[in-house]
Amino acid sequence: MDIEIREVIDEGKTILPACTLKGQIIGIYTDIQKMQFIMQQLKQKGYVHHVMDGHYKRLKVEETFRFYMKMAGCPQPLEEMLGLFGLTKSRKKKVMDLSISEQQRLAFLRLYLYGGTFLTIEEPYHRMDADTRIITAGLIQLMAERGTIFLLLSNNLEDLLISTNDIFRIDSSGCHKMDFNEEQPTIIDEEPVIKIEKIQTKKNDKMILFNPPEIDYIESMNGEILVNVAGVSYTCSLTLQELEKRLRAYGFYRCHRSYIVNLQKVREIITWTKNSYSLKLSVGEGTVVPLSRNKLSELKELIGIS
Amino acid sequence: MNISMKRIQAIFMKDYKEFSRNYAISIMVFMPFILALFYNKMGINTIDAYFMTINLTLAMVTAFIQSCLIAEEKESNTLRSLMMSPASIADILIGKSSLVFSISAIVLALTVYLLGYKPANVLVLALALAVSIVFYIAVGTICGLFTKTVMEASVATLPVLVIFSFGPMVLGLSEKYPIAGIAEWLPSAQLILLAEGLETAMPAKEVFISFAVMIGWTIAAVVIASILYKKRMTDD
Repeated sequence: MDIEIREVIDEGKTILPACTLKGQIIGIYTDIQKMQFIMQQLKQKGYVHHVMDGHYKRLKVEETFRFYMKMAGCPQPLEEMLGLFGLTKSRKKKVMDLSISEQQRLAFLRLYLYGGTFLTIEEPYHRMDADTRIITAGLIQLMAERGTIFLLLSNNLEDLLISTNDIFRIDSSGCHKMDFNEEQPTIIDEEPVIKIEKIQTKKNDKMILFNPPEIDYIESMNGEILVNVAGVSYTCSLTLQELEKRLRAYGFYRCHRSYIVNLQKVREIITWTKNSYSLKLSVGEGTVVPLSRNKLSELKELIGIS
Repeated sequence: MNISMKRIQAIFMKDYKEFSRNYAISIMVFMPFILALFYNKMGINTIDAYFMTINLTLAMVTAFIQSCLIAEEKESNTLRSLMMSPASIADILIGKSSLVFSISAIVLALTVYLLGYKPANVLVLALALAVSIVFYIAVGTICGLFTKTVMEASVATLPVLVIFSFGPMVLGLSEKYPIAGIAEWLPSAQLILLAEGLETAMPAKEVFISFAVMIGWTIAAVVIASILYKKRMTDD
């Protein structure tokens, strides 16, 4: 199924360009204003989940489950559903006493039951703890395998990468398929030799040089290379491929088509679903970098873990 | 329009639990009892006084609870997802209204008992009260759809209370100011006329006219409520 988005023009300026989207799980990386217009248009086509959607806060969790299951005519046993959403423990609690993350899981119940074949979700992983993200990612995966088409709207690229690689960036000039530079990883067979290497970057027209170990990770965003050091990003004129080559000897690794990470700074490998991973860095407040599924085994080998 | 008993039942149960645990709203059902006991102990036993309480109950319990139930859905951002659910408009409105209807019927029956009012023809009166309940439910729905929070909704039911519950009192002025005679055509005033007629063996024609006026108001209110609800559904 193709998803058509109509153009929205206000006072002669294009706010939302017309575009056609294709895929099973489609990510849209755009700002909040465009998201509102897209959701407005798509509510005719299928269920649209808003971040602000609320709950019947005086019902207990199991009563809420029974209510929605009855409404949708869902034949699955209650126990199974509670388990699927990781809410078995809090089944007797009132919804208003749940944590924000548990409420978010509960909100996904409506999507799961009313879903149908086409679902739009605004900010699917917004303000979620890691457990809830894993459960939500698993549910999206499960429903996609059963044939539901998802449209995920977010202005956080890392969030979208948890669930999909089919990501479109929409700005007023048009809709661009995000290209994660699908290129063959270059095989470097020469022995790494330690040498002085500085990475040249720019910030506000100032040229800044970094020692490789200072760098946390490097990302490619909209064709621009951003070098992230202590939570600040600096632009760099080199390509990811060149950087990968130069930094390999310093323990850097191309963990995703558009990311290079400093392996010395990796604290945790997060598993969202059985084929979706992220790397959590030890710097800042939980900086997370996506990890391609086909890179996992290579990475494990490289850092000597199993 | 497809109607599913299962969904109506689900909405009924959900609203019953929400209602019974929300004391700010559910405490309202005790008001008529206090009023009725008060009148009973004072030894007031005119039809006017009985129906003052009954009309107050219809506005304060029926319209108030219905408007609060709908406004609460809006306040907690659940009405939108309810409208997008597989349930049809009829399912949602019938589910909610049947709960309010049951509560109102029980409260009214107890109020009549506590007032010590013994109507000459219970069946006709019960029928008239049932029509009135449906009317006040529709009015409550309209109030709920126009407001955004429970607090606004409880204020919005005040005009209903003034116009429909106190409206018939204006009739006393109709000899001095003929314009006040309009109040006779309020459904609450017709309810009183009907009840007075039952005591004095009113001709069937008069009974019929009273019923026709009440049913007319009810149909108008139900139609307006449904149109408004449909409009709200396409708006947001």
